[in-house]
Order: sequence, then structure tokens, then C-alpha cells
Amino acid sequence: MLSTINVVLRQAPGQEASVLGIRAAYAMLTAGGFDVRLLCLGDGVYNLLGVPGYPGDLVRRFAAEGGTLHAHDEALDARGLSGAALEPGTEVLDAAAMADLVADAEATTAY
Amino acid sequence: MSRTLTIALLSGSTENDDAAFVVNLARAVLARGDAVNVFLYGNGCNLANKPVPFDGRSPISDALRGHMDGFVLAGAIEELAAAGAKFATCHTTEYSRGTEGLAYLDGVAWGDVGNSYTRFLMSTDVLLTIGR
Repeated sequence: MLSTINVVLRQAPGQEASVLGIRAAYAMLTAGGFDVRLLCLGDGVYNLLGVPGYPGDLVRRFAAEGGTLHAHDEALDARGLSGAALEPGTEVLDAAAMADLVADAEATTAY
Repeated sequence: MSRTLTIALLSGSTENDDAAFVVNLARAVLARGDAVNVFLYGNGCNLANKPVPFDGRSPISDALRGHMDGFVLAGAIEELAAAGAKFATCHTTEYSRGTEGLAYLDGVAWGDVGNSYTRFLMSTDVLLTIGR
């Protein structure tokens, strides 16, 4: 059975898939009681920039409810983004550390 | 002991192989004696409804119609549901598409991320998200 689930965001705000991933992550955390991590890769890191409105509010509520936020360091560097600009509490990880999160979860789903 | 696969399908079926892949995967899973749940999410919810035929004259050529008919999965979805696959939609994504009130295919249930999808996950062994 599933206990820890990673939700990978690969797309920027403004793409439906990014909101679908955030919404699924929030539901799994709060309604399912799963341990849920939001892993932001590629353009997915833009979702952690304090986005206004519903998508950003949901990311912040996810974190407030106990979900964890993670950003890939190379994705930030490639986009000229600083970890300091991300939602408070976001963990910036290299690929090896991201892989560790994938390895120790029962499921990793990508949006 | 049978295992359960849950798939969140994000794609509609038209000229897109993702939904056909999910249908074929679900068939194979059921044939093995395992269970499968499909959550129709985002554009995946476009697969949930009974087709509404167009009565007027259509300029679609026979060749194009034959091509497009290959992407119509309504019958396959109803067969899978009859064979035990569980299908639920995300009503929020239906709402934004104006389809929440349309008739569902036999075996497809109105649903949501917080209840239907989460309930699927509580008894799931393997989780996939397929689509774009």
C-alpha cells in the first residue's frame, strides 16, 4: 500500500497539468493522510515563486498542512532563479538527492 | 494475491495515444486477475461522457472519419467497466469544460480528487500518471 507519494511538477503555472498536480498533492495530503512531497523540476520550479491566486495559494496551503516542497537546483540555475525567491521552507536539492526521494517513496507521479 | 493499479489519465483520446495506452494497459491488468482504477483528470475527463451524434450533414471524408473513429474509446471504456475496472472523473475539471452535467458512459462515476482519487489510492499498490 502507498504511504509516501512524490508529485513531480514539470510545467510552469499557466499550464493545466501544473495545477492538476498541485491539487492532487493537496488532496492526497489532507484527505488521504499520505506523506506527500512536491518535487519541482524543469519549469515546475516556477510554481514555487510565490505565484498569486489559486495555484500559489494551494501550494502554500499544501506546505502549511505538512506537505514538503523541493526544487531541483539545476532547474533553478538554468532559469537564473535563486533559492531565496522560493516559497519559505522549500528544499533545494541536487539530482542525487531528488533520486533519493524517489527511491524511498512508494509512488512518484509526474504532471 | 491480486494487486491494484491506479492510473490518473490526463489526456483526452483524440489523435493522442495516451488514452489508448491506458485502455490497453487496463485490459492487460484485468486479464492477469489484478484490479485497476482509472481517474479521468484534466483532459482525461473528456472520455467520460456518452457520445452525442451529430444529425446534420458532415463534410468529414470517409478516410478522415475512419482515422478519427480509431480514437473513440467509449465502447472500450464501458467494456472495461463491465469487466471490473473502476472509472471516476474529476468533477472540477468537468465543470471548467462545461461537461459536468452530461450523461456518463456506463460504469463511469462522477468523482473528485479529494474523495474518489484518494479512495482509489488507499487500496492501491501501484500508481501511474499518464498524459500531458
